[in-house]
Amino acid sequence: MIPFGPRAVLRAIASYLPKDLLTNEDIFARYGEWSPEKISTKTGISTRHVCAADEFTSDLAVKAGERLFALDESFKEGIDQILLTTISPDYILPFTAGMVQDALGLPTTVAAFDITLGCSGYPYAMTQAAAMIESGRARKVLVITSDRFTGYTEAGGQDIRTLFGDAATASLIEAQDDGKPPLSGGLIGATRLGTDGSGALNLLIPTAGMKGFLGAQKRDIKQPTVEMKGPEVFDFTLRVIPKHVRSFLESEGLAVEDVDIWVFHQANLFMIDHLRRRMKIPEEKFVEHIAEVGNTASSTIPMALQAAIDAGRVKPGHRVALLGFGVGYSWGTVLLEYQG
Amino acid sequence: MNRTEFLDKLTEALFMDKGSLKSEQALKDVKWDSMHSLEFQALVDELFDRRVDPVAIGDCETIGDLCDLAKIEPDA
Repeated sequence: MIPFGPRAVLRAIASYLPKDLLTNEDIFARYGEWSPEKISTKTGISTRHVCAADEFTSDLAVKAGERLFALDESFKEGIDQILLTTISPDYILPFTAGMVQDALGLPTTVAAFDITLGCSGYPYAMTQAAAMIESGRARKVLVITSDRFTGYTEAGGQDIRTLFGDAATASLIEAQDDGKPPLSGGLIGATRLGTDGSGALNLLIPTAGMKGFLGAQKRDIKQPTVEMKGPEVFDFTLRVIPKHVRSFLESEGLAVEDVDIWVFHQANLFMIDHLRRRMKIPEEKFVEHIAEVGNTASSTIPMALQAAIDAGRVKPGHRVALLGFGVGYSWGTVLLEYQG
Repeated sequence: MNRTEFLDKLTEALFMDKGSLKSEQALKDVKWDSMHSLEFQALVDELFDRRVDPVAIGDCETIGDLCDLAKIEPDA
């Protein structure tokens, strides 16, 4: 239920992609397993952007923030919170959002913190930002998604090297008061979040964090590398995601066909297209934005949403569903009403 | 749907030649990888609305083991 009082509007999204590219040809040259065409057909990915050696999550985040502020200089004024989702922070200590506050030149009155979520990060951060605004505790929230995730795939096998890319996005969430003209952007409506920690070890970086440094899971490898049990993760999405969406929509008095645009976390094309067909979502309502960027963790949803807006697919009055799912396991859906 | 028909659909999904997957074939001989497992899970989900235990997939050694796991009856 949305309370009376100020509502939260997603005003704008900007993104930043590092300039270096990792192509399917590069991957085939290294691993010699799947041909570039097969990678493209199965995953929907042709290229990924990867950070330079001296480029890290906070750098991507700052670049995305600067691009957001370049869209409209008023966006920077009066920000009172930064929520930064990342699973590849510059350091374990300190948190990344603080360094980003300083580098963006935002005042020390800003509350800033990290959210340690991956593919569900954007719906969680949007929900948190909306809750802060609707409760009157904030007026303007900067939501940043940023990951140098390829740092976790460099030493890994073809399966994980193929899927992931680096990126950051910055979104401005702003209060819209009762009785005032609607702000441009997407009015944040109902949200539903979920967690199943029983799947925690199926998508794991076992050598980072205190348990990784000191615990029994420490392994003799040169750099932290993500380990993914693909069949287990896929099974989770098949078991949980369609039911989650159906139950959430029913609780809001809606059905799948009442949503005009669906923006899923862009895990890989095979997985999301299978989910789309199982959920009976027509292709024309479904956003695919993975070919040139890969799976960029919590940045996939805002980048795909912005691509759909730029392409003119999202029209005033449209109901948009943003659906994230993955590591944790964790999932969430946010409904937006696009106000133009 | 019998096992032969299912394997035809699986070979199509995996971009293999028709008839190239047989029940007795060892998974290592067809270079089975995690993406193949996903295709297998998706096909069973789509055709039969059935879940395949993902941990048990890792214990399978042959194509026939996978079909047994998915409860696809052998051809009469």
